[in-house]
Amino acid sequence: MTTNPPTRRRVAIITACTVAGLVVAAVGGLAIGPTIGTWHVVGAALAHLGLGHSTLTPLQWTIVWQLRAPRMVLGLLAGAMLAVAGATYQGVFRNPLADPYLLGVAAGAGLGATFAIVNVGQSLTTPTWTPLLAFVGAMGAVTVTWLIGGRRLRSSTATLILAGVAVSSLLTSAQTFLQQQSTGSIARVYIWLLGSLASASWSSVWLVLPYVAVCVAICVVAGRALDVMSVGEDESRSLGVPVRRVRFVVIAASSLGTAAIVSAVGLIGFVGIIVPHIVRLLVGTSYRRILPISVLFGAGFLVLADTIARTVLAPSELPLGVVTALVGAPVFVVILSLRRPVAV
Amino acid sequence: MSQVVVHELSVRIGKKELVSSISLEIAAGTWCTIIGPNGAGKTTLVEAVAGLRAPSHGSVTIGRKSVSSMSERERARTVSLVPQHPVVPEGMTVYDYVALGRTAYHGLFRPPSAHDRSVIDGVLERLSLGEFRDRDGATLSGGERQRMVLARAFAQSTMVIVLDEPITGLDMRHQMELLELLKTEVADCGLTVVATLHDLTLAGQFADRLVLLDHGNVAIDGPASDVVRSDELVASYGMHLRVVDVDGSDVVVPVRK
Amino acid sequence: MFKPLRLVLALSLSVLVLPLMSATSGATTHGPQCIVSLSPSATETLFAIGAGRQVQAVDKDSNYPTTGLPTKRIDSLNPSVESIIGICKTSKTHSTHKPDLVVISYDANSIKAKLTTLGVKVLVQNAPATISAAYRQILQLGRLTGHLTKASSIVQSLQRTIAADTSSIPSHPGKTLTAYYELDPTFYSLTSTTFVGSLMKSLGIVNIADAKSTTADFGYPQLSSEYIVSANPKLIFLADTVCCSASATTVAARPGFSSVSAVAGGEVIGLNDAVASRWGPRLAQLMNALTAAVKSALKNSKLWP
Repeated sequence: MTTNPPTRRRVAIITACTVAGLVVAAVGGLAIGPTIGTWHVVGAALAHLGLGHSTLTPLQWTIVWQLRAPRMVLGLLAGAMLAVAGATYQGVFRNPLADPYLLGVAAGAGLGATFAIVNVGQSLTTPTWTPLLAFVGAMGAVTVTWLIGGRRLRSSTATLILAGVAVSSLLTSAQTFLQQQSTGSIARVYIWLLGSLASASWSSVWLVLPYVAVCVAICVVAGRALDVMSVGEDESRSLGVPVRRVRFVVIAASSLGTAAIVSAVGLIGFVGIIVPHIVRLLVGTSYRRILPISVLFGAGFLVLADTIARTVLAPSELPLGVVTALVGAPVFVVILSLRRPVAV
Repeated sequence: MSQVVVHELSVRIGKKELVSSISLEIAAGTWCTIIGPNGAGKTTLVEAVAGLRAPSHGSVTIGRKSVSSMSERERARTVSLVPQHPVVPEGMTVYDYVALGRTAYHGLFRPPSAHDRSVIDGVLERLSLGEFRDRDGATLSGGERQRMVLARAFAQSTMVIVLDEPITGLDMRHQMELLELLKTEVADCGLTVVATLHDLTLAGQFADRLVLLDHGNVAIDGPASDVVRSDELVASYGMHLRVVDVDGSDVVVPVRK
Repeated sequence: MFKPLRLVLALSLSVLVLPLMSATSGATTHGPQCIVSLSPSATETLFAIGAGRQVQAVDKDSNYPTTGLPTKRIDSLNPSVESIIGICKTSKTHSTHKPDLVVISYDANSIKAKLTTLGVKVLVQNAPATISAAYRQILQLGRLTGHLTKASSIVQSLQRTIAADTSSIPSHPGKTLTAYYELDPTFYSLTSTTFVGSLMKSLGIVNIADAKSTTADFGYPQLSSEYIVSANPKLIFLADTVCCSASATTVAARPGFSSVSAVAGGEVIGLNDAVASRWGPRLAQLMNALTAAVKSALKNSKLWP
């Protein structure tokens, strides 16, 4: 029996469910936590809308508004950006294994952050340099990758990927060398690399928001172009798509947004590669649908994972990358077994 | 009035010159098939006509405008391509695949307009693909799939269509079907066809004109009935060929001696 | 004719000299001559008790005292047996011999077993759990290096200081002095089962990490900003001022922390990372800092509305 691609109605239902899940996750991110009863928070939120009265102490309100709220919003931004960047990369490279860190973003950010953290102890840098150097490292790495593998006239996506592998290997070994020279900082570097939303504040949210907003918008709008490009470079060109230009814009937007997120929260894995696949299994292979739904799904998914990460072993927190994998992998397997997987 | 003018075209890839200083003129509304042994440069030539390979020397002009100077969108509205190994993405409906042909008209940021949609519907009708509209394109049989690729090329509403080995892998019936569809389009809409074909008989039966390519050069260029009987053809293929008349059509037969 | 005579003379002289050499070397210096310290706390102790000249190599993190440390450094997290064995050179013969004593606080690369099979004496001095255990380590080093007298006087002086500090805290019925002790900006803390924790406990401090730690933490649990803000400690100690530039200002800038009592009351105390994490003779310094903080907090009216 041939399965037809999902109908519009099915896609609408899935979109609605995703939005609902996102809202629930967001509310959970605010209300659920180890130190305040969940319903008290919900009650306080309603009180602010004029219904009933709040039972939270000022200290508790501070926790909700200054700690949980920016953390939840940053989680939404990070999940949305990583998911859409991963989906975009998968579309541009026509490779199901592509993730947002493919072209060196992770290695570059890791090197930058390691350099910053190692040198704080030597009083050469301050902790505020860490996100900045991570960002510079990430964008620097992608730029070098593009210069090596993307500029030649007949460069293919394969040369870009290979360039990314080369650049990543080089930068990762440089990072390892730095770490070895300063073993006292290994734990701190490792914690940064694992990725965490624990340091979220409203200022980091405002800092990251413009990048994420612009880059997510560019990626989503590129959905139609990615659909055309799924027939390969030559055929896309014959259909009128300026392939190299589209590729450049889309890769630049994904990389920039990912670099901004990575500099704020470290290297959160799994979201960028698996969320697009989950969405693809649900709504089919058209990037016009995959991209916007990945934005919503990724946002809710990461906030859900973060809520689990910070409550299960409170006050300790599980590394976010561990939780995303533990939560996401079974979900992926279930959906995989229910439906024939569709190739990228 | 020539629609496609190839002027001293040379295409070099790496160190190798695949096509050397070729000049051709193809009139509008005619069918020109490029024949020749493997490695003669047929694919490179037609890709250059479609604007996919930049000439290292010379030019290709369509309707008096140089193909290399056109923007991507303009070129897509001028010449369409049916490649030798088309990529049919999984999960894309036949309708959406054929609709890709209208990309150059509505652009990358807008959905197909009402006019676009009517063109797509018309093409699906003409190529008998209506019943497959919502089917996953990758699930079609060989013959149906090739019709779908042709439909996408037709949807581009171009004056020139370039086809690279369009009937490879199809059974006889589907081969004839596809070529007849093209012939009808040439007759009804004045479409200019530039194609490459391995099958010398079919090449001769459908084309108005044959161009024999050998090692990147034009060996002979003329009406189909002349070229199939030429000495250059025998020399180029390096084997014995006989042309037999069957009910008024030329059939080219390889002979084992 | 003279040659054999000269030879006999030279031989007999050297025979006479050798026992003299060993006798003198035994008389002027006693105890191990070549000590390798892979523990920064042990390094501080060794230099304080007068055994500094016997220390030929230290680990990369040993940075106190500021002068007099040997130039040879070993990576304590990834030590190489071969480089440790080749450390010692005697000035008279210029040949190398094994170290007489290697002090470690952490057995990396199974270095203890490997050195012991090569006949090197290895002393393991892990982070102590109590103050008395710390004293015992200082005395042990004194015994093994032949500086027991100096070591004892250091221990006695520490005991006096700590006793004086503890008793100088005024009684404070009704005031619970909660504190958060920070090891790094990702909220790693320590409980009262650690030696610093036990120092704090002896001063009457209630450590907010105690309530939430499990045996799996080994005394060093990781807290969260939400937990700390919710516990609202009256005192915050920062042991990450050097590694991570933590200060009262950076703590106040963290989301949610400006409303914490310690921050609002100005009782965020920065400690030098090394002083706060080692159990050598500078314990007195750490104790003084903690005591001063407790006294100041008890008098601070902003903390006790």
